[in-house]
Amino acid sequence: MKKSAEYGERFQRSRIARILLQSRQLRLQSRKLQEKIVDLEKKLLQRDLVIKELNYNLNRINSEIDEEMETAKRIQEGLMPKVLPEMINVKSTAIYIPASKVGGDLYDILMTPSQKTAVLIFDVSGHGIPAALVGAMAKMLFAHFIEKTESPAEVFRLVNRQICSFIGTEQYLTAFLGIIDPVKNNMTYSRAGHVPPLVFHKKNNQITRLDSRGFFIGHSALQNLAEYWEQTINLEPGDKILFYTDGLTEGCNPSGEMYGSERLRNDFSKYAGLELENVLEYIVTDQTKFRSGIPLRDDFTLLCIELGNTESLLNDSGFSREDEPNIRIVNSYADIDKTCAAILKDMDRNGFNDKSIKQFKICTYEMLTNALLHGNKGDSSKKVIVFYKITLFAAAISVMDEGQGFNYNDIPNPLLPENRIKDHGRGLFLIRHYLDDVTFNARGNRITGRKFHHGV
Amino acid sequence: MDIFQHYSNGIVRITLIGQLWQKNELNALSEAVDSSNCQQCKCIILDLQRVSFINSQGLGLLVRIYRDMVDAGGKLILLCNTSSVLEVIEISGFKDFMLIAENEMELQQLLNNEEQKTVV
Repeated sequence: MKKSAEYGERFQRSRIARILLQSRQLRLQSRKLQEKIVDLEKKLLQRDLVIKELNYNLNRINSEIDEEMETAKRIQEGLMPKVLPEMINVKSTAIYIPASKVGGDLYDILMTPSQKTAVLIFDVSGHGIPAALVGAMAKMLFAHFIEKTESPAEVFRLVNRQICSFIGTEQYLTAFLGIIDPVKNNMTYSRAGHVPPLVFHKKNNQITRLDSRGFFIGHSALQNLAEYWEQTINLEPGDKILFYTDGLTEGCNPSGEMYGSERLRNDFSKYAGLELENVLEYIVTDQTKFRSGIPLRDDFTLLCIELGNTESLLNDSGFSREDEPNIRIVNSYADIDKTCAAILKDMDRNGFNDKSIKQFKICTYEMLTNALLHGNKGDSSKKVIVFYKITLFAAAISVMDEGQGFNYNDIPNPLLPENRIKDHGRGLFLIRHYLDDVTFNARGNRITGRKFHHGV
Repeated sequence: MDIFQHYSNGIVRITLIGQLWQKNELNALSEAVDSSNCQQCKCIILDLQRVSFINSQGLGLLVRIYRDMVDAGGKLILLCNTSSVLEVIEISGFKDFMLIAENEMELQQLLNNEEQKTVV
């Protein structure tokens, strides 16, 4: 009985001891677990901090990229002409459709030194700031070289050489440059790997493509391969030319099919008879419908020009097409200076003496100032058109304004005593004195004068 | 165009350098003439010896200055020896009513003559 009690006590003690041991082990495990939890929490906190830092950096980089894209966009927008300039016998309109990424599309319409119209469109490879910067440089180079030469192929050669020497990267651009002669009604053009523009011939409602060979511009590694050719196309009044960039034809629909050049050709053919602005609007609408909500991968530009009627312009001027007169638009004093400089240089080249040149200079300034200040009444939206032709036999000029015209018989003779202290009326008097032949049109908004070469 | 003014004994000499045809050039000369010195003076000498070009607007301004001076009881003398400018002035009949000197000696003579007329 005693033994049994001892056994029971021992059993109890060992049980308690086991429980105590287990409890100690559990406490130990619990402490270890707590330590692990603390350790994990610390690690989690550290990880959280790293993630937060990464997020912060990512946001910073994203906003820097956004900022850069915004800058690139601003550079590109700044390079687009705000208003297309008024050209002789050429109407123009353009649309630029941006994509999510900033592209390298640019276009320009410029007047050459002999007042021909230069139409330029180009597309720089790549996106963002690099494309915008190359675009800016190219635009300035094109403008510079168009001032120097009226050969589009030569302009491309010169721009290519400069871009290759400045950049030295594999950034390149495709371009198309056409120089329109408003008197001969033709366009000399060159294509540097650009998508060929489409021409709508009003006479027979036909569409043709302006294909010509030519390498793209600015790829320094391939500089030696670059060669450019030029061609001339005759145009008629009412003909339209559609210039564009490949972002237009590469727009895709939900099944991945591209809008393509055939669809564009059909659309242009459908709308070419409409007003210029409507032509572009309808083409863009059709392309947007075709894409059915699929966003553009690349931005695109559409530029359309229409040839006016040179014949009526020439008839008004008193010159004929055979005379092949030079034509200039004058809108400011600076234009007067430039026009006079060109005329006088031409007279000098044709052997006119100093005295005759100075006399013709006075007449030219008088005609242009009168047209600008009295004819157009200083309204800069109105233009003065000057036609001139200098030959070995005579210097001829015709100045036409958009005013109401005046009766040239109403101008008083400033030599008469009653007029001599009047402060006006001497311009026409000087013109009549210095020129051999002065005529006016019936409306009185055009004066034509001729000075014969002495000794001829 | 550059304009220099020199005032001495009631005579203002305005020297013009450049061309006289654009609005800003005409305004500059008008302002120079309208300045207080000129309003008080008895004679203005317009030195056009270094004017290379003048048009009818410029001639019109010369007539206006002449008219204002005569109305104020003063004189205007043009000093001009550039052949093209002088030719335009002559063709326009200015010699019939304006005092024009082609060099400094002629100018001095004109000034002396005018002085004597005033004394008489």
